[in-house]
Amino acid sequence: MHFFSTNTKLKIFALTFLLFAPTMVFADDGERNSTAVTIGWIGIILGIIANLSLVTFKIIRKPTIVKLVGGYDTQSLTPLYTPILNFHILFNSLGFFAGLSHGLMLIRGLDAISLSLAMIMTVSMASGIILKYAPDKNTKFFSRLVHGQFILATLLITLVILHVLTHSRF
Amino acid sequence: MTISTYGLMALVILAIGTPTIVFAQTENEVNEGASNGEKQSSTSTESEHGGSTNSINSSLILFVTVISIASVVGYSTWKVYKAKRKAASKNLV
Repeated sequence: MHFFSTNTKLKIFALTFLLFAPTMVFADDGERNSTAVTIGWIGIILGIIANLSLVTFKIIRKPTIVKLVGGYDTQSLTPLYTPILNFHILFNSLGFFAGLSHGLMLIRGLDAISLSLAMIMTVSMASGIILKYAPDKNTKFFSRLVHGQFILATLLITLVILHVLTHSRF
Repeated sequence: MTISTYGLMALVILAIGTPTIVFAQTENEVNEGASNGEKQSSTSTESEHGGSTNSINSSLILFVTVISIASVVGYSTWKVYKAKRKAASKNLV
């Protein structure tokens, strides 16, 4: 039976997650979790989900993976691309603004790692916005190149890990 | 330009300007801390050595980030320029 479209299912999932995300973070303990730290964790979780979903989708669309796994073809996945891209944009925007708020709230603890992380996040976000809305073909091509650079993604992951390791008390 | 383009530009400016504002704020705090520190007693040699290592690491991390961003932007610009030149030469032929 087919009750909801894929787009609606994704929206329901996103809303449910957004409702429960703060609860899950606050559920840990009341000792070390200030609001700013919680917002930071929400930003990280949203970023991981937003990027993993798109990366996974792009991987399973590759012909070699389709051949290896079998049971589906790349054409059947094409209608899913737009909802997943919108999901990626929505969650990354929320994650970016959560990270921005976290940074502004804890501005006294700013160090080189946090500043580098803010710079990389800003470049990724700005190139993403330009990629989505730029009317010019060359600008779109430029922003696609910047947005999809492996070195930026690697640096972002490394800085997030370093930021968590240097600021968290495990 | 449409209203959405103005909104988009405002967002981009905000996003780009935020790290600068944040950095400026920290610089102020560091300067304030330095002027207060002059009045306090001097620290041990060991802690000074640790402080300088941290400072080098911080500078290195920032340097790597800035160089990476600059190289990515430079590489992308060069690619776009190359594509434009290729298209222009095709039009001539």
